[in-house]
Amino acid sequence: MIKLVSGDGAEFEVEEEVAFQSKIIKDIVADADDVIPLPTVSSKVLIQVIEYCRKHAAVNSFPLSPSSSAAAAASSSSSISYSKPVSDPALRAWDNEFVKLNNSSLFDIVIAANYLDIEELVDLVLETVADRIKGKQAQEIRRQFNIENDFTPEEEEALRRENSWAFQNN
Amino acid sequence: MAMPQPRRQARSSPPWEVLRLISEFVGDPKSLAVACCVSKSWHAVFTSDHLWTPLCRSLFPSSAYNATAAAVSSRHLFQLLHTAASRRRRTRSQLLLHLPRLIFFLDVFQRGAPVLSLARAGSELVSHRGVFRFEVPMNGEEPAALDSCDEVRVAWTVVTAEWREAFGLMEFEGQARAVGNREMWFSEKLPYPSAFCCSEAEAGFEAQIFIELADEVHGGGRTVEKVSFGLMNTKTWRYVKEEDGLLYLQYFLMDTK
Repeated sequence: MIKLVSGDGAEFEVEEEVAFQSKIIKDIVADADDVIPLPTVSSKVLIQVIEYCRKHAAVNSFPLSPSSSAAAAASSSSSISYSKPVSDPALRAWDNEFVKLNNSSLFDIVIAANYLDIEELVDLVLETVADRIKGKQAQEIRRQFNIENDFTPEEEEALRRENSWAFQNN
Repeated sequence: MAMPQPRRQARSSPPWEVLRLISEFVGDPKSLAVACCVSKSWHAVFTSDHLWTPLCRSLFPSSAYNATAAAVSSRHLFQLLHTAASRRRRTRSQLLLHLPRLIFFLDVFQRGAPVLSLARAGSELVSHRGVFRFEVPMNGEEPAALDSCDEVRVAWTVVTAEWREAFGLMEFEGQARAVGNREMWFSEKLPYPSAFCCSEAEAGFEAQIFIELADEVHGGGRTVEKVSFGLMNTKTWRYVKEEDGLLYLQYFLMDTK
């Protein structure tokens, strides 16, 4: 078991395969002890990250469908594959539920996941946030992310002109 | 256990470092261009060459061979090449220019001295039956008396409200066409750019100014009672629709895509 300590002092004991979803922790544990302080990660965020790692550790250790294990066998024969895309539909559905969070929670998670180097989680969250931007109008994005429009009317007009091709439909 | 509360008040705008990461996942050029317009910090992140260079290279691979020499951002390059194709396809321009964004300036000189000068914001003007013709009441503050028989120099200019662009609608010098003693009429043919499209399928445009004078003579001239100006389609001899007049000005005042 590995003990993770959040920035606000909460301790979490997790199995190695769960903690090792983080490449950083894997590296640290290889040459240090089993208590890992994570001063920049709050307990609230750490709970969410552990939840994700636990789920992915469980699924990754038991390849479910024969097709994915066959693919894994095929790829392992040639080279070691890191960060494989999430191909299991059940896990994908779980991920989709997991990211049904407000923007600020997602930002906290992505900062933590980036720090802990959990590539799949970083990608998952960034894709989710990017989807909340794609195809929207600037005003909708400002509302969605609570951003103040700090352009002067002149600057805004210049931008509108410059980018008018993107505002037109089709 | 006591939970320290170092958190700022509920914020949902992405921190800068997160925004940079997000930007790489947006991918499609239209969404990137819109994101540039959200705020200054978003502009800084979403105009980055590392987002736009791959888009340029994949859609316009040949641009890699020459444009690298010019100090031009990849976003600008993408925009330029993207709109190059749509310009060709353009049939009718989209109207982006609105009357309240314009200011009209009219100066008439006789013997080197200003005899009629006025400046009117588009917001003060009301189109006459939906056509691009405006009657301009005199406010009494500006010089406004002239001699209908004398030669004139007329300059009519339109400027966008932010003083960004200007277009000369008329530069006339000579004898006005007079209708009796009390009316003067100036017109001047306007250039008709071949790429310009409006609902008037065939059009030639002309700028027109009418000046109506009062009966009584003051010194050398008559007081101006009323001025009107507009754009005429010389193929149909009708005033152009307000929208088409604005589209025409837009062609010269805004570089529309």
